[in-house]
Amino acid sequence: MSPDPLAGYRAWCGVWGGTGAAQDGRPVHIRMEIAPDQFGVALRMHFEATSPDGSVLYHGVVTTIGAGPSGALCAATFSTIHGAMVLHQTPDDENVLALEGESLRGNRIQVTILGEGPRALGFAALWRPPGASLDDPRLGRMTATLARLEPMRPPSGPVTTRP
Amino acid sequence: MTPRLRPELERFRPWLGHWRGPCTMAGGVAAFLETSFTPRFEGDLIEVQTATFDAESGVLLSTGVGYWTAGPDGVAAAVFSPGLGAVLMREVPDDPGGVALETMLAGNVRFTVAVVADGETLTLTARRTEGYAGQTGDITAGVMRRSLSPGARP
Repeated sequence: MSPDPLAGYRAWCGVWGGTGAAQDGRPVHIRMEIAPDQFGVALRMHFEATSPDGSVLYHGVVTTIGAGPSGALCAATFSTIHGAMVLHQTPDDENVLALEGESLRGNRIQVTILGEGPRALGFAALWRPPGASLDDPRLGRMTATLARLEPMRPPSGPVTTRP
Repeated sequence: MTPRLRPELERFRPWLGHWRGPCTMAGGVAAFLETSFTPRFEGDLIEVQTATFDAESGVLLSTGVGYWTAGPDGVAAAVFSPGLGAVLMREVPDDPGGVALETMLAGNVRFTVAVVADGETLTLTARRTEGYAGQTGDITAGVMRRSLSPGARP
């Protein structure tokens, strides 16, 4: 049986959040949820970048990442900015998921997620119009460090009874 | 509450929800097909989940997800299935009341998925057509009815 190409990323399942920055330095609040799909054959990611108060959705993405017939990872993706698109994994270090593709309008999209231990993920997304260089002012960019969100646990201690 | 849908996807509103029904897989295998249509991001897209199960054993035979949204010429859908990988499908002309999405796969294989509504049923057909002669190969077809929770039945 072939090894699971998603094995290195399944530990990322959970809910992640943090504050990042867009290309203009504007702060964005990010919430990202990663979960196995209903049959465990793929990972599903739901990403939202909003205004810090959560009232304006700057960018929403939903994607399903899995192995195709060749065994390589690929992702069917919808973005509220770029529409429907397909991303393919590009070679990178272990513990990094780098995906790249092109939108229907021809924009080049790159997304990189970097595992930074069990409780932190680095996130970077970059998109550029056709023919644009990396210093083009039309470039879109978002970067953030995300922390794993977990339920708050009350401090442990002896159980007290009401008087 | 009625979910919002972008105007280009409004024609699929009657399809929202869960559908189930018998299905025949390529090679004549009897199966069961489940499909759901769920709006996301305030109706900017419809997420379409499908799965087929062997009718006798219940073993999962295939699964897929499609993100349907408005493209330049009708629906554009990013689709993932382990058997296909991730592909971008575009709408091609089909009967009114239905939708047909198509993409080209490696090896000059045309892959088409059509969904047609007929009264209380939805018929889903997936077809792989190979070669310039358009020789039809694998066909999966299922006729589904809306799946309701017991309390919602009339």
